Amino acid sequence: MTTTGTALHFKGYMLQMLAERGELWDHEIAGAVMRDYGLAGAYWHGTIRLLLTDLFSGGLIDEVETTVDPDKSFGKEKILFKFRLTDFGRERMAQSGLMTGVNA
Amino acid sequence: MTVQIDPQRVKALRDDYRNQQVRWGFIWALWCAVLWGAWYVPGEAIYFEAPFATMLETTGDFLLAAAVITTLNAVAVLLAMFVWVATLGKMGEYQRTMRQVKISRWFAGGAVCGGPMAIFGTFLAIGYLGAAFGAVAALLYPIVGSIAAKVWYHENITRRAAMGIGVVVLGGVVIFAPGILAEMTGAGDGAWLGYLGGAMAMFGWGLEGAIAGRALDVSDPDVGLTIRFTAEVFYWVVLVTPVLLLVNGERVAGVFADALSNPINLLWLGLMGLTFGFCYVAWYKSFPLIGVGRGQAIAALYGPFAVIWLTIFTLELPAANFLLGGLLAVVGSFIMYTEKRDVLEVIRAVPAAKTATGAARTGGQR
Repeated sequence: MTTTGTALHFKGYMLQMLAERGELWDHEIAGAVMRDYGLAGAYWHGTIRLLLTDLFSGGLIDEVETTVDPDKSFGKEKILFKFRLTDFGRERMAQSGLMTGVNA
Repeated sequence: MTVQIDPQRVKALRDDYRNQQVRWGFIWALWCAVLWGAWYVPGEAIYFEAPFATMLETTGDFLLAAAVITTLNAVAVLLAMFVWVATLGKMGEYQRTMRQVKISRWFAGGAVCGGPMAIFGTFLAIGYLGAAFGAVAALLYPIVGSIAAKVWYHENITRRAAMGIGVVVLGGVVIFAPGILAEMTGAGDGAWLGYLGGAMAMFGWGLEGAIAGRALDVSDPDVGLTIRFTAEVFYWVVLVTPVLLLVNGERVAGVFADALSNPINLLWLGLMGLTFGFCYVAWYKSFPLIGVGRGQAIAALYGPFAVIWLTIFTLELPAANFLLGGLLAVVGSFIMYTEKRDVLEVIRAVPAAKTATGAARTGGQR
């Protein structure tokens, strides 16, 4: 990740992750955030998914693929999304000082 | 390895998830309306308590009362928000977001519009012209907010959404119009400050919503709101109050001391902090999900809810215009709620998002 690392807030960190790595599944993003911020459990997994929902509805990220895999969602049948950053998301990141140090 | 399953099942789950996303946006906005309406009860009741009950004679006293109440309201909301954010385990996120100056400065800007403009203006309007006027004056704020969000960052305001916003606002006006007319004709000298306060509320909350919508693109709503009230408390406690103390230290210090030594005021302030704090949380949570225009318009249902709450606590039945106005407001919200879901999935008119929502999703890569 960037030089700012986990000093960033969640949405900033997730956006930088997508800017650097391209397309990512939501469970991959949630797993990385929880690992890097020392969090665990379904509550934080759900919290990260809600923040991704905000980013999607705001047009900053875009769905590229969907699937269902209970092994990736605490044994429950939940929809999983693969996301990518949109041009608008990239623009908003730049305006918010979140592109600094991103290796896109 | 990704498990292969029925594409139709994936599509159904995907559609259900996106429907839930939109539904929760409306639920949050509705919660905001319920709690916002309730806030007017302690907001007006505190004017009947010492020392504020005796500060209605001169304009100077009146402005001072409104400033002290707004300051204490901001502190009460911030305390409620700290409890909320700590309960959610997001205090670390609060500090991290606060350090992102290019983001937190937007919340600080929103606090100027929402605090010294809108909330102070509302307390001026309540004090001079009554809670009814204070409530309806701000009801027009979704018009300001939705226009700002559309012009500024291309939020999707469809014709249907614009019509819904208009009907909700009309409903609010119908509810309060007779009361306003009566208050306007009965208002004494200096009432223009009440009308100015109403206009400040309308523009302040409208602009705050648009600014918050911009900042919430890249930050958490619970945390963003707490930063916004941190900024407002800073403005009142660190900037405004010291100036007031310099101008008339003994008087200002006395009002604060009298206000805080009256236990009933502490009860009203506690209720103001809880109702307004969680109404604001719900407001901020709705913006990323359904957009500023829709979130503000549904939250404008606080008009009918304010009447319901005031009826419960004053035991005075509402007039017939309440039924008509309430019906209009509910019809307006349904006009927006029943909008096609694919329009609501992505609230911005941005090219990539348009492409995404227009394509089929059947469980495979597109």
